[in-house]
Amino acid sequence: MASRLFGPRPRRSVPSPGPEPEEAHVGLGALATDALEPWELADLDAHLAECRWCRQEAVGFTETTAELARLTASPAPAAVRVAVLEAITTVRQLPPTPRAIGGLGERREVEAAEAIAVGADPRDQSRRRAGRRPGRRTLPLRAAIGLAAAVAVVAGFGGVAVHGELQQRADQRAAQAVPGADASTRAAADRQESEILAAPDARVVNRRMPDGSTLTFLVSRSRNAALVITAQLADPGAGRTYQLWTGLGSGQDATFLPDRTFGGGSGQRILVSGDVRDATALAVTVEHAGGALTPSGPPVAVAPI
Amino acid sequence: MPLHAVPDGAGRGADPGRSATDPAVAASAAGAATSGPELNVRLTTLLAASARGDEQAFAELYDVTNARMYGVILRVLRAVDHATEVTQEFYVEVWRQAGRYDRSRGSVLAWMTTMAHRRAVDRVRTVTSDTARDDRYARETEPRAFDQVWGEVEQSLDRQRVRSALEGLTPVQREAVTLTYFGGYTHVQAAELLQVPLGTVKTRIRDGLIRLRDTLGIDHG
Repeated sequence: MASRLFGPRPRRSVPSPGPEPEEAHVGLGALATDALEPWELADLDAHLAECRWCRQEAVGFTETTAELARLTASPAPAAVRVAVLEAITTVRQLPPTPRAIGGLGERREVEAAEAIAVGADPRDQSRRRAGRRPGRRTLPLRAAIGLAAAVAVVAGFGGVAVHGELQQRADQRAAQAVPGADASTRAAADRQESEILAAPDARVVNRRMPDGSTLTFLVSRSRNAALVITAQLADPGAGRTYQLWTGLGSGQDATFLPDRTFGGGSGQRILVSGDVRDATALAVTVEHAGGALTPSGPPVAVAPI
Repeated sequence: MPLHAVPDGAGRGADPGRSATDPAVAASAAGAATSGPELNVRLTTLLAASARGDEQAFAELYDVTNARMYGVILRVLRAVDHATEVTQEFYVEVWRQAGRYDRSRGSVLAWMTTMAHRRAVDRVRTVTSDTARDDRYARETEPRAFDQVWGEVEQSLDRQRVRSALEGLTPVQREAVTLTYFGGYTHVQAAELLQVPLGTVKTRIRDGLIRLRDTLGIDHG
């Protein structure tokens, strides 16, 4: 939903899993009538990314307000038509969101399927290498193939997003404790930012996003924390969201673990919820609203760390 | 095919009368759907063609939708020059983003109306100080009836349905929905204007929208 503002937003708190469900529901009406205060939008966006029920209600409400607009319907002056049709001749259209290159993805899927058949979960291999226990969750084969495809690709991207498990994954992410902070308050984000910056191994990496804005990655391995800061980031588009990933390993063995999703805006501070200590890179892709289990295409920004 | 456009004469904002931008004209001339799921199919097709750079399809999309878009933008901004500017920017943005429309987010019309409304609200909050808006604030329970101004625009059955549905809300629900959606106020500003506790307006908006949605038989998954 989404995201969706045109123009810069005021600085706001790091998106949390969202307010209590009852509170989130109440805000959906105001969302549909554009009656939320700017700082409320961010939290609700974050909640919508992780709550399918609310997304459905939000869609129903926008259909409803669209009907309301019938009451004030009034033809635009003729000059507007002329101006619009002329203006579009010089305006570049946005491409659809990048998707996996079919051929490449398919071949990787076959390789991964063979790996699955042998009984290995490629994710477990990279986990063991990273010194962690193998994953305990069992996923449907389709999802496992998707994950394995992500592992197999040299560049780290090219797997196919699996939508079936999105809600489960998103809810699990939401349930994870954010290290060291109450992420729902601005003060907490300030604290995190200061903490990272004060660390002896603090690093700042800037990356240019496709819309020209800068994405800043603040990283400290010793604090096991990373913050991503947006600056006038463009709306990812209808039904889309930006998504963070933490990268493990490199080259052929690189795995990208899904992390927080976020929308366009200014001065957002997104706290990376995954493990930073062992990460080799942070990346951002554009996904379907709700996020993905595996990146659906090449990243729009990668920060090696 | 669209009729030739009637020039404004008295400059921007004058009554253009029946022109190519009148959706009733454009639609009936094309003999195509003007409401319901047929309309959505038509708009989806036009948008998809627009996404491929089809300017004529986009012109048709404009003709079918501009009254609803300009109308709500004008209602929120209450100033024709601002409204025409925002409407123009809005349609350019629709052209830009045509390829990014996602069905899962709802109908094309809902996508567009939401975008248009958002732009209008952002503009009205940028250019108008709070005090100026308070001075102009008239406590309404009904949006101004534009059909009194645009005598030529047909009172469609669909419009009547929505009007009745809105009348089916409780007065405070209707007030909350109207103040925020048509008035462009935030729920905080509305609460101040109405002298009610924070949160009350949010609840009334939601309850009002639920009632509207159900009365109009809108699917909500």
